[in-house]
Amino acid sequence: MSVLEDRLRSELRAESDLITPESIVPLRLTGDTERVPGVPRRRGPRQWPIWMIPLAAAAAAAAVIAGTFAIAHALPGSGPRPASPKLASLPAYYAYTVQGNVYNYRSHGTQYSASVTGRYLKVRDTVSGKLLGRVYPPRPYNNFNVIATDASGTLFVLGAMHDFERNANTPPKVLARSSRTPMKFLELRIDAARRPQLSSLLLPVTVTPGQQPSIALSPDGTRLALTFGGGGQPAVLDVISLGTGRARRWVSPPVAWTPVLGPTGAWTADGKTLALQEEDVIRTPSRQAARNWRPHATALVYLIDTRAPGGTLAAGKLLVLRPPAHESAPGQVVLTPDGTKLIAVTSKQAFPPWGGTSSGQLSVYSARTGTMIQRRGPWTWHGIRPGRGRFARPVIALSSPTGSQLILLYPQHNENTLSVLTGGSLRTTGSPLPKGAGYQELEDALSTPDSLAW
Amino acid sequence: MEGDVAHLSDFTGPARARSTGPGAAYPQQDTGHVEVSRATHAVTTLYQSHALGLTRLAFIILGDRQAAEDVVQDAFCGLFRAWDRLPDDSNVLGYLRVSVVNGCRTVIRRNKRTPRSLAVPPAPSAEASVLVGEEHRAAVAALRRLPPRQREALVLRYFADLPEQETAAAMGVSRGTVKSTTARGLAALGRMLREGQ
Repeated sequence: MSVLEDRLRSELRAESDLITPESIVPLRLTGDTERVPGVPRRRGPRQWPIWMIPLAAAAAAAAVIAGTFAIAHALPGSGPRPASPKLASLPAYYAYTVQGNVYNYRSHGTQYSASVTGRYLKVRDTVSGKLLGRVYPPRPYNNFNVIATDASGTLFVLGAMHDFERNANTPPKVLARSSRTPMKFLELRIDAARRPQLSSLLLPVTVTPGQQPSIALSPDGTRLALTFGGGGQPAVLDVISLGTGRARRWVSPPVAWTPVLGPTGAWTADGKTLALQEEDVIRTPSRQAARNWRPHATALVYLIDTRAPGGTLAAGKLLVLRPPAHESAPGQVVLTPDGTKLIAVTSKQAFPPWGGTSSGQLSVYSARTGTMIQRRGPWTWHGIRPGRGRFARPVIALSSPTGSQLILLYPQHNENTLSVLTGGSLRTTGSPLPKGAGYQELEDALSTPDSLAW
Repeated sequence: MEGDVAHLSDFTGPARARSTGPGAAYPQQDTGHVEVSRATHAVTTLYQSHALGLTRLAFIILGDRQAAEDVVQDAFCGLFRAWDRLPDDSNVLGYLRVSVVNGCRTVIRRNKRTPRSLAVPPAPSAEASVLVGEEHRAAVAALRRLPPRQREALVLRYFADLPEQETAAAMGVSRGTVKSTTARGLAALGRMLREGQ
């Protein structure tokens, strides 16, 4: 066998590894489910008698009229009003990152390209879904890595990086990660005329690529929490006053884990306490590393009193959140605005995905002791692989002060639907959910929670 | 992965094709229900065994994961519809392979465009959220620039490891055509790789 044949064979096999056994969608046999047991299969299309045509037309017209009434009654706002919302108000706007190419080069008929997840930002009105604008990072920055907003949804803080660069006179496939350009912080305000205004934000901190930064803006928009480090370096939390530029720093000795602030529920409403989670993050992305990655058995959360002058992370309260038996470690931990509870997603997953069922609940933990005090919102996902942007688990977006009411993307009938969970009851229409066109846009944006600020 | 590819050519004998399915476990009654159950069970079992290998085959030819999944789904749905008409001694995997290859041809004809070069799966970290399409396989990229027939021949011969006779059956051509198409494809591939260096 020639060298070329060997090379082709090995490259084809490596390429085919992109299709993993877990990614195989279940088989849907057309017509398989409509069959009635014991009834012989019908052969060929059925011929309807000619006199049925006017009757069918009349039935269709009646169905259209009845359907119109049904839809009108189902639309939010057209039926009886639901119970008064416990959430004070929705943020006015939300912003989310959009993937795009930063590099495109064609050489000898071969296309080389690199794309990033935050090539630009879209800002939309929560209620109407109207697009207020697209925001690009200023050159040479080409990727919005982190994004956060305040409670009103009119102020956003963005962190942009210069992720890739190609040096002149190098082969097209040599594309280097920028190792020196630090993160650029920007402030995005939505003005009275509903125009996004972007400006630089000077912070007394330098974050370089690879330090795994995450940010969370306090509900009143005056302070920014920034974490980075870990992975063999000290883990750092800075709480920076955006008015004065002063920072308070909490730091740990060198650690393997990475400090992470969740996209939702990092701060309490009074801006006093901050929840920071220990996570294992893959530093050098590769398929092997992704394959070998195993989540923690428990979730470790630090509660930091941000009014303290700073110090070591160990000064914060460390809570160990244990999952219920046979379930995954609590994920997407949300601190309720009153600071009394932590809400997290735990689930069981069966394999293979085409034959198994995922199920789980929202687990509510005491923020004082870390013990589980309640389980609510059970869901089941039946053996159908979630599609792009769909998960067999909930995504929490907003919480009422005590956590009794949540707006979330909830797995229901194998779809993730924007819903309100009040106590143990779930509904998908009515206040305080956004109405009109904004519903769908927000639902789509929520399906990538790390890229959304709402 | 090799096992997944190897079983493409393992499933050749007509007797084995039927015996691996659960058809024998069902009573031979001529009612729609039993027919449907048997066909459903058999096709589902075949799908669980062969979907991965066939999806990979379609993905290599098309370079598009979604289209590959659709082609394989269509092939199995076609098998399900045709189940009653298949003779008992039919080569079910061969039938599926031909369906997949034909489905890929239809997709290519419909799209009339170069398949996308690479898809990169997401990795669970912020660092990995930066997707790099740069991780490049030159031979695969060159393969995707070959004419569809040459591409099919090379993929069936060097990815699915099919002998010439089965490659010919899957492509619907003679064995001699497979040999010449493969030789021309390899020569063109070598030329493209040399030019790319």
